[in-house]
Amino acid sequence: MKDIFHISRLIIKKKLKVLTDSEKQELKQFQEDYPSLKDVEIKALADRLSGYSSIDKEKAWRAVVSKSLEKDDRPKLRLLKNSWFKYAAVFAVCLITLAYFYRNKAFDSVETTPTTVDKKIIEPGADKATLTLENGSSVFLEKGSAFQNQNANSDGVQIVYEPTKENPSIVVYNYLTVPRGGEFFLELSDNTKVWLNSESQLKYPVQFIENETRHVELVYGEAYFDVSSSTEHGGAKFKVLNLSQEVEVIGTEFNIKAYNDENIVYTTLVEGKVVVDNGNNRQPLLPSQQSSVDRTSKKTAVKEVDVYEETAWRNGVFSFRGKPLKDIMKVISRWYDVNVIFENKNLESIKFKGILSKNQDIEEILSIMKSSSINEYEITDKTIKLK
Amino acid sequence: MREKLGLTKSELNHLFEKYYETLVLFANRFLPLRDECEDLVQDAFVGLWEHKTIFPDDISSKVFLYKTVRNKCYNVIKHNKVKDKYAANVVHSLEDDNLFLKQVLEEEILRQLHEAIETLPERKKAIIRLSLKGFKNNEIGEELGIKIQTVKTLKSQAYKLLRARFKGLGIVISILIA
Repeated sequence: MKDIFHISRLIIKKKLKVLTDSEKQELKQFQEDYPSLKDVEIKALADRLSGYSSIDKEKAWRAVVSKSLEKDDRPKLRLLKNSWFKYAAVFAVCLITLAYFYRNKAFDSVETTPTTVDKKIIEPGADKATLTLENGSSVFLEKGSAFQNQNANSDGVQIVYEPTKENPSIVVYNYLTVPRGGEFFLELSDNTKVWLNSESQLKYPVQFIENETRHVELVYGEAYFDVSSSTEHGGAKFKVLNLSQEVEVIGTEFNIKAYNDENIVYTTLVEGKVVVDNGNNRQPLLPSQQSSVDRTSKKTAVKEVDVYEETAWRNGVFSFRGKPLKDIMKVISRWYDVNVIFENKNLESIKFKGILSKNQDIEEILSIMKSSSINEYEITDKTIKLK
Repeated sequence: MREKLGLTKSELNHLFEKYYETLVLFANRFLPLRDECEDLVQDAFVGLWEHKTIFPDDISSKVFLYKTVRNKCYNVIKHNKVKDKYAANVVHSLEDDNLFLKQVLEEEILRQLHEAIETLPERKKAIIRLSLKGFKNNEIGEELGIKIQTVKTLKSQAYKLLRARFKGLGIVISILIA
């Protein structure tokens, strides 16, 4: 049965023509073993893809949670009515507390390996952000905390601004700040979609003025934009500003990476057309091209990149193809909110390739690296030392 | 080492996000009413949560979910006193283990395709969906009201993105020295 999941992937790879020779062999063998599964064909299945869009997952999740609460409550209440059980429960709590203190003490007296103690401190990031409103007040958004005002609606994991009803006379700005260990999805009032990565801040109008250029500012960090076409907004252009550059957009999807601790601002075009203006020159980009603006020299370079890799963060994975460990660790430190120290400087330039799931436990990642080239690592608090 | 009995809420949510729709569509193969399917799949997740065994990985939990949903569908049909030809066929298809494997295989293909297509920009999404159904470039152009040349360009970019996604090991992490 477990093979099925692996085979399903191979069938997709076959359709996309990316099977390796050994996988071809594997698939052939499988189809010989299970002749009844031979005629599974993607073309015949594709019709059913539309079924996915008709399901309200959020509502369903709430149903699961409330169903399990109902089940949980019933037996517990009944038991607590028996008074002996109450005492037993209190006693059990005491015992557990005692055991806990004893255990910690026992740990203290022995030389602790830091990795076991700090395991719970470092966790993968999640959807969270601080919303700063026009009056200066701020709201923290995360799963389970909803927020609503006359312009915006948030369920805690994303925020959506309502389309403009009346044309506003002045532009009012909000800020969305994503901390280290966070990411967030935002939909602006013109239907432009923005995915913000960890440690990023975006300044944007609550409503756009009709027929005027739409301005947002990526104050720092990384964001992926899916800009609604200017033809839907009376030809109004869209511009993303940053200290070091300005990106003029025609209606398109692209990624900007402008971290304060990196000297280069990267803009990667996925689809459509943009012009990157660094104040000195205007550089148009084609799909799959990436511009890098050097903050000090003010020079712009352009190269072809793997778009999937550059924007993979948006899809729950990090993809690295031959990136130096120093760059990989920068990404990891933002998502897991940790500091990384290279005690052995030679490690910084070692190149790795691979795909990491963003749900992965940080130790799993480190232990794989350890097996290939890092000799030793040590975790204390929120600091990882590579030796 | 981490000790645990059963899943935490966030682990359950992770599985739910990934497999809920797929399992509903799977149940929908046997039961015509969508609401009934959703209800039954939600119960399967509640069951998984209360299950105090340790699942070593996502795949074992997934096997549990598929099997639970299958059994629940079977019980619903057995309980319904309607003994028409349709019900008889469905019962037959639920009893056949080979067929079960095939159904799961198909759902898993769809699930991964859907997940991958969702990451594409809007127009590419629409083009890929039609292309997978076997539409030719000119037919896609007509359907979506865009030029054939645009269809060609976007389609090849979209396939490139999908290939890159499936080329790697995907969710399983893999690091090699480049």
